[in-house]
Amino acid sequence: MDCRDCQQRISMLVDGELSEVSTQEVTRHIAACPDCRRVYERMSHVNDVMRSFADLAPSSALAERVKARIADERKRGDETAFLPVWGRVSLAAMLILLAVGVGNLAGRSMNEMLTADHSEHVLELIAPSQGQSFSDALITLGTEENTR
Amino acid sequence: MKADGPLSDEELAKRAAEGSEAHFNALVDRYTPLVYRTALGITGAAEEAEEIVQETFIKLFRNLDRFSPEKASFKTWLLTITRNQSINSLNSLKRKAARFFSEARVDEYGPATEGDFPLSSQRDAESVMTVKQEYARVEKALKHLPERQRTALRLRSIENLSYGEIAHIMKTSTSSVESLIFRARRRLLELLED
Repeated sequence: MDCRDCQQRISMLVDGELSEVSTQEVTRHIAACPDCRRVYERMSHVNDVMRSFADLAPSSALAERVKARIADERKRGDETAFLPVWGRVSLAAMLILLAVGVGNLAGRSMNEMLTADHSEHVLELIAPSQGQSFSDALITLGTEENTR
Repeated sequence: MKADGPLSDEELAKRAAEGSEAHFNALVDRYTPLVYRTALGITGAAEEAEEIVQETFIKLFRNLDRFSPEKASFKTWLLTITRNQSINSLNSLKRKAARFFSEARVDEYGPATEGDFPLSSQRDAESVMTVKQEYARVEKALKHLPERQRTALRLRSIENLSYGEIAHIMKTSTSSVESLIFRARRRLLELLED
């Protein structure tokens, strides 16, 4: 085992992730190699120092802030749960639907505006001023055509 | 209503997913310190870490129904969310920092300076260094490691996670985790010796 291989295994030894056989090999190497022994001691020391970082904890106020935000989130969820299905559609989808709806209405108005004069002419032709109903006028037209 | 007894994480998550506020809060109490330390270890910024804690738990709350104990433990799943959130924040912090500093950086925290670590001549004084000073020195050196090395080492040494769990969180293999941790330790010793 060379020193580089040994040092990689030292890291695993410090973590307790080494097999029993490997542990024995590394231990033998460390006993005979001052450089690797020093690496082992320093890695173990730094590891001990890092373990003490586990004591670091944020203030308890942080957990309370998290709970408050979750409570808000839960409340918002409850409010939307009472809405009908369409009420829970995302805002984006609702805006799209609205835009399509407005577009259709606008289109229809335009058609009506464009065809308004033409329709009036047609109606004048088929229903001049005798007070006939629309269907009466059509029947009359049909009869005239049939009699020709 | 308060959650009863020391339920397992998975049991708490199950009940929280069913709508129990008390069980969700128990998870918040249990894991806020771990999520905070992990976020702080990645970003190096306390204020940012607190924000990440909040965002992580909100994400957890919204996705609790997706948690599958067969795929990973609750802790592993939570730390995966934490790491993703932290990396997003770190990238955002880096972008902000880049606006202020135009010079090239050796790594995400900039090159180590002589003032960061004790000089060789000061090494004799290490024996009388207080635990607090040693703690600060290691913490400072850790900031000079690349994010992946730093996170892998912190999850192992501080949070006592197995190589397999770390591999799952970091979406890599166990052998990569071994290598990341070894390289992290080797670099850490170099930084502390300089």
